[in-house]
Amino acid sequence: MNVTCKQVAELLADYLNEELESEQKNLLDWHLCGCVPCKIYLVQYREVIITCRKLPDAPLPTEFSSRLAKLLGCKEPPPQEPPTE
Amino acid sequence: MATTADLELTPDRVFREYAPRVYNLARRMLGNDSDAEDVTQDVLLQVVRKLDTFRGEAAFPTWLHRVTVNAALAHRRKRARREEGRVADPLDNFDNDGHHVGHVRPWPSNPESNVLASEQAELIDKTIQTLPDIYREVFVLADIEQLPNSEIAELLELSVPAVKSRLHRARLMMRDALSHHFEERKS
Ligand SMILES: [Zn+2]
Repeated sequence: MNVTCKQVAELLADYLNEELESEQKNLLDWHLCGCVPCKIYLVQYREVIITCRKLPDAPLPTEFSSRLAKLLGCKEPPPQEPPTE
Repeated sequence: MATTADLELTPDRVFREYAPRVYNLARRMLGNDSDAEDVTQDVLLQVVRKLDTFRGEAAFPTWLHRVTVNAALAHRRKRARREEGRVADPLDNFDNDGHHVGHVRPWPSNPESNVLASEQAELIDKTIQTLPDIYREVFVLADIEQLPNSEIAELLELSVPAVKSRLHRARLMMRDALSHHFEERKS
């Protein structure tokens, strides 16, 4: 009994969440030991999750920021660079 | 009648401290800048009108988060269906024997420089926008906003297994798209 690369890809979420039954987990461990592409694939899958966890918020677009400030009746100018002419 | 309490929720403070959060959440959920502006505007106007009813600030961020998610979902339901680019099924990248088709190459290693980190964030944001609606919503709520699957299931009126399966599919799509990006950049 063996798993294919495709099956590894299908099971990655459960594998990382440690939700696989031990027999299945062992099969994946075994496959990942010997398969470089799957190892890279797993690292990248995990990297997507990790990077997105700390994704920073971009500032508001300048034009929208001033429109919104006006609409909300804010006295302060938006904390952005001065408009360029 | 200006009070001097530093921590009082004022429109200025809401604008300064919370507008980017609302905007980015809406933009990621809707995959589109102008829809995100509409939602941000609606949500913040609603918030500013209700500010005096908000005494305890501790609950404010959570409340604002929920209001924004709901507003974004409502906005998507009422807008016309977007023309979505076709995103290949990640599981089509395997042949009949279940082997990877083509090479799986490592990504360029994560540089420490802040400039490149912000470039990477931009790339991720752009890639999220290419996901089809039903995958993007789940992905944003789970992997960016860190909501538990059960809460996402409730918000989107899906079963928990459906949330899990969409989330997994979305991550595979993200991985494919990023790999594709790095391959193209190299050539
Ligand atoms: Zn493999």
